[in-house]
Amino acid sequence: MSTLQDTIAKKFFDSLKEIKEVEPHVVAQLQALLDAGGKPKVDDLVKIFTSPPDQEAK
Amino acid sequence: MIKLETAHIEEVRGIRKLDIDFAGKTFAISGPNGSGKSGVIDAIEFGLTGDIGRLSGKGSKQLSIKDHGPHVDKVKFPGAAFVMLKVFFPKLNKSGTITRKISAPRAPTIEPNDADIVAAFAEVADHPEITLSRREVLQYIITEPTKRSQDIQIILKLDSIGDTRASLNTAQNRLKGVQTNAEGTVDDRRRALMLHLKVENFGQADVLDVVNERRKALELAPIEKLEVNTKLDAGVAEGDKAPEFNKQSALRELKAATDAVAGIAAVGKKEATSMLDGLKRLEEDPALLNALQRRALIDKGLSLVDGPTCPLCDHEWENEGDLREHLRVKLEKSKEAGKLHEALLLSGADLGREAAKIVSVLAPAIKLATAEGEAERAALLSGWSKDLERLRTALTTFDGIAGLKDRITKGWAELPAEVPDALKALTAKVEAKPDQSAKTDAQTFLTTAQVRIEDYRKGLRALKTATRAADQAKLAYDTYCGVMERELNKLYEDVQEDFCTFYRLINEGDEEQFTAKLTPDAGKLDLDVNFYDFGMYPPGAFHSEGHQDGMGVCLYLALMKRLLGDRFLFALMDDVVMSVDVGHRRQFCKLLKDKFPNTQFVITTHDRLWAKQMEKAGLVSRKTSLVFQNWSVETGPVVESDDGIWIEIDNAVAKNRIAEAAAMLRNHVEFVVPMIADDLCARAVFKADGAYDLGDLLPSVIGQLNTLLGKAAEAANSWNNQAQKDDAAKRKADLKEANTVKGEEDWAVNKAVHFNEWANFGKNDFVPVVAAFKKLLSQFWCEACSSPISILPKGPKPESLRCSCMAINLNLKMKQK
Repeated sequence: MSTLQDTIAKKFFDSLKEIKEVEPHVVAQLQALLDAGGKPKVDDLVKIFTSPPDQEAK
Repeated sequence: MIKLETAHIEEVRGIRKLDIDFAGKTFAISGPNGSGKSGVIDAIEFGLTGDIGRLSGKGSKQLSIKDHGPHVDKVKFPGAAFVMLKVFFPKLNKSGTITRKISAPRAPTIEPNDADIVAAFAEVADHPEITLSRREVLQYIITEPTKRSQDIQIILKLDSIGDTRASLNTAQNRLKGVQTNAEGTVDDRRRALMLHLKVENFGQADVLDVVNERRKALELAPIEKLEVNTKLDAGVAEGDKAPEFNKQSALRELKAATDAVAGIAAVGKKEATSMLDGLKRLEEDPALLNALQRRALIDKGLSLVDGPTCPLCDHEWENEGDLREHLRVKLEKSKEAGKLHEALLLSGADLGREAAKIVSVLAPAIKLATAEGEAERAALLSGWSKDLERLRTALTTFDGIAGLKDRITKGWAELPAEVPDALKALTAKVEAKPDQSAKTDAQTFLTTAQVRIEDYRKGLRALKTATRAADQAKLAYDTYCGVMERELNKLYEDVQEDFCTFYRLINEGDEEQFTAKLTPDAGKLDLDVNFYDFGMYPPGAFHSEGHQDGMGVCLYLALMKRLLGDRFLFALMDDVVMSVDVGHRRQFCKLLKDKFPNTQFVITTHDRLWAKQMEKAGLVSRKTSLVFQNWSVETGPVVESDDGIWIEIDNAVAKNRIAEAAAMLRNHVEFVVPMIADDLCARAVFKADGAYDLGDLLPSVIGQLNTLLGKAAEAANSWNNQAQKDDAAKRKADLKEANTVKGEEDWAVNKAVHFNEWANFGKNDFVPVVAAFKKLLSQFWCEACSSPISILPKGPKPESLRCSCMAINLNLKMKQK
């Protein structure tokens, strides 16, 4: 049985992937950050939300 | 999770040296208060988690594991205090041993040091909620809703969910701030561009009209469409590109600055008056001022919270959630001050925007003054501009606004007297410049327009990035909150259902219609329970303390079931149901057995009857029970056992410590005789207080066993079962002999029973007493399984007399004639 945290995280990302305004690379980076455990740092989150999509970054 | 196999405890808390074989099964430890039971719980908790809740929880500020974890004799030698636990991990199908020293609680030694074993022990260490003490039981029941919510969130480890939500919230707020600033920058740059272009409307047609007019003057092709990369000065040869200075544009910018300065007295009057009124109210009402100042401080503190340490006073909280809630409650208490606070900040923000507009129109004038070599005037304008920026910052906080009272009264802008003249002089200087030729005017107009529009475009790009980031952060935050709320509501519904089921089970025949409602609401978790169909009330309203204890345990079990599911395999329960009455305890055993058949509970109780009930209910066996007789600093808990106790008594007698031996014998006889009476359903003269002493019970149990053995012989005779007949007859004879021997010592026994004078006996007087009791009590015991013999079924018509292993199994039922 998965923990409540795991359940919330899974459903959070499932929902987030359905929102077209949220870019896939943002979802992927958020997932990696939350999977790392511990309290996510605000600076890291800000960096993720402001990061350009791959095609723009090139 | 785990099953506890064995524990070796040395010099920890009240324990000197103790080995317990838990055998991975539910285990009961009983003994009087102060006999060392909780020390075992502390030691196991320490071994598994590196922590001892009683030394680190609430009300334990002066306590620490290092100083108070070792036995009191070893406080200066914490290295001597350690716990070694052998644990089985069902998921891995492996066992491991963890040894943890009080001197190094975070550095246990794990054998085997395999990665999976180490990780499994780390997972256990992350679950301190496996230990439940009585004081924790009530925290779920008799507590404020906000506190209950926090406590339950802690036990469910919801703090990490709250941490994620808080970080997402802070991130979205920060990005919203970045977006707002970017919007302000775009507005400023658009105004500067429009001022230069001298257009009223910022539409494509208006812009292209003025641009193409200049392009035509330079015989350049008109721009048909304004696109992202359109260069307004395209075609102007690089060599012909004049400096940015455009006389007419500069004059317009200077005029804008001059007009702004001239009208400054009328700007922001409403906001200034509102702020002064608010500040006056505070002067007249010191209590309101006090509340507001505290509020401003708390508000600031709340925004700075980033962990469990209070940013205002450095107080260490258990977790960040507790700290945030504490600050939020304080804020809630000063609503009137809050409204005034909000109004002041709103007026401050409005006035700040007016200051920003002035700063914006001053910027080109400062640039021009610098370019024209007017250093003093540039410094004057620049100084005032910086002052207005500082003012704008001060207007964003209550303390800042309070400190500006004099300035706001006199005129918030504090316009330096020389500024109008400086602008006038600069205007005159620009006007005095020869008019630019139509060609030069057109060239500088276009090159300046290109610089301004590029600034504007950069601003737009930054705004787009900021908006994209802010929107995504908000969507992520809202989504997380939505998922969290849905899952928590579902969790609370499940917990509520389990809680009711468990509580109804332990109150079978009493509160079978019991219902409860857990209602989460804005950081609170209300709990109401049905009181005998008279309505829903808080648990402490009408239910007895015993019922509340029961509710606490049920809620704990419901929460653990939801938290760990089928991994809920181990829990330590330290005297948690001490005030639950006898009938409810029996049901409690049923609850643990039926609903948690795979969970190993280690249960302590100071009530021997309760321990006995656990045994009878099949929750524990004699092999998985331990009785602490007493405790001393020198010995730690003295474990009572049928074999061990006689050895200990003999040892004490051998050393002529009769008082000690006498106390042990008396305690043991007082412990076992009521058990035997219960097992054999022996009759005693009823006492309303239930306080039966040896004088009441000893003759009764001897008589009852004698009667039962007689019945066994008769029954064997009816069945023509010679073997049982002989066995019963032998046992009857042995009992008679033992009773006779005891009778010979009755002078001494009576003294002991009635006057407690054993302690004054000499060695020679006491040895026969010990032997007599040993022999007598052995008649009630099975040597093979070390369990007492008892009747089945319990009641007036028993059918057999047997022990646990059935080595003794005497039929009491006569053959029908």
